Amino acid sequence: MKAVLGRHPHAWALAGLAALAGLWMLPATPAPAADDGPDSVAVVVHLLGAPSPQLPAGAAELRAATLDLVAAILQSRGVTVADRAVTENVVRRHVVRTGDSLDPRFLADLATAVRVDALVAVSLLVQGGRLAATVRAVAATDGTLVGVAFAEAEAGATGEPWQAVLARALKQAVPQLAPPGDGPVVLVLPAHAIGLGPDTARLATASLLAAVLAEGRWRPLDPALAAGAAAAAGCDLERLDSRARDVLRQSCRVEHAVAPEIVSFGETGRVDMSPEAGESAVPGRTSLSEFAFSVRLLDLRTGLVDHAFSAHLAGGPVQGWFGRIDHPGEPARIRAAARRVWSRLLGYLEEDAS
Amino acid sequence: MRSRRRWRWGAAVLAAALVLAAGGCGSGASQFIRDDVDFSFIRRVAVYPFYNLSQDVYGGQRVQSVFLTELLERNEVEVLDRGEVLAAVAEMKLHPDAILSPQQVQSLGSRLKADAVFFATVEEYGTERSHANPTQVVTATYQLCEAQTGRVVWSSQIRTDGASLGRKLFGGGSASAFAVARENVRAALGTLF
Repeated sequence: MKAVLGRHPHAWALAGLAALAGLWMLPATPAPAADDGPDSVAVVVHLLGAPSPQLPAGAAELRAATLDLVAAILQSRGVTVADRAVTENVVRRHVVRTGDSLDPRFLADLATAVRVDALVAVSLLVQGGRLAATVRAVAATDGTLVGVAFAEAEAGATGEPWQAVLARALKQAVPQLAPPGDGPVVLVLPAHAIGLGPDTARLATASLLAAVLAEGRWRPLDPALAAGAAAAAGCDLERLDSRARDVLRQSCRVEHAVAPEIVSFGETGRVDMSPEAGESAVPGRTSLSEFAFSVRLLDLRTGLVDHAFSAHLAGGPVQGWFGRIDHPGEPARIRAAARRVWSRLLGYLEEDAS
Repeated sequence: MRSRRRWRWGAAVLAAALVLAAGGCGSGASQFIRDDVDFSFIRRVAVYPFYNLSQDVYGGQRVQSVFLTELLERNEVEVLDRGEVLAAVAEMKLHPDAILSPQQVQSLGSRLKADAVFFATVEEYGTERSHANPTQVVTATYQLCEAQTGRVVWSSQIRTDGASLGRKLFGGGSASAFAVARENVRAALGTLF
């Protein structure tokens, strides 16, 4: 447990304090003021999916528009955005093709060559008329997250221009940048999805990271850096053997990792693997009627699972107080499940530490 | 006075039985346990990827996810992570959908330093539509193989459906797919721990 809490001198004091006071009795962590966060950032954008009739934007114009919008949002909050060409040079030098896997040396280079406090990584998925944006802000000094958010916008039938849809999504997705904390470090691995698409896995990871950040006492490492460190060593995070675990222990300086998993329990028939079936398939999000969000606490020294917690969410509308019926969307339901499992895991960690 | 108290106790027991019947799932099981094996020596286990024979393409993985959580909740054995097992399966060129020979089980156990390996075959996962009311069904066979010898020391075949007497009586629908899968796993593990 010492390792989960990291090697920070205040880790035990924090854990002890939380255990004494009781998680539920502590007041909610206040949202940090914008001026406490990083002063300068570099923005990188990665695109997924393909243009559609509803969102007919080419990759280059979508990237440029995203960079402009994110820079405008951050500048309105008093954050300096690094020169695009300088950032692009570093991106090219390190061949950063995806936001899901970042080489730790790329981040170090940004801190020294571009002289920024944080990296803002935007992943943008265009799928039919849906545009989903995940934005992570990573401290350039130590790779911990200082902000994460997810938002999606749907192109309506009214012929709304794609720029407006993009602005709507990014306005919600660019997080407030928190000051780098001094709490214990926690490594959250990218979520594994069963019966669901990679975008849902990405949403599950972002939701869990947001729950960790919102709680405020822990410093989550960016999972993309863990994936990047593993990839650089020729390891696969899906197959965490002893070598991959050693890589994570050395690069992330943690002894445990949190592995999230999201499982859909809706039926999925046998897939027709013929090329004709692949061509006729309509892209779209897999339905998420009933699902379970679980986290496993892995001991990176032994490869054993220390504990696992699961939150199950039934499909359909939710009946609230006084007969009120809610129809929470998929992101809201995943966020709720992520908060629940993190709360249970945190209770376990702090009980164990005390 | 005594007869009234007895009547109250009877009513309470009947009410509890009805509540359980209304909320629960139906299970049928057959099992085998080797009586010459001391299970207290099994401390560290691995869970091999579940073999999926159901019509649902993710049936095996879904049931395996529930199985892993339930196994860990019982806190009876140390469980190796899925990634560690997948790495060993790839390294040893085993196929997740293959039935392993005792020698292969021994090699896998030795590679993972595990005392035993869980296997399972998910035979049914999904909705049974043969009745008026569609019902969720999970049928699976679970096995535990001792790594030292490679032989099967425990096996349990369970069929669980989302219907129950209470649900049939009061017109409730089927229990959810997750609830049925969890009940199936719990019924199986209940015969072992």
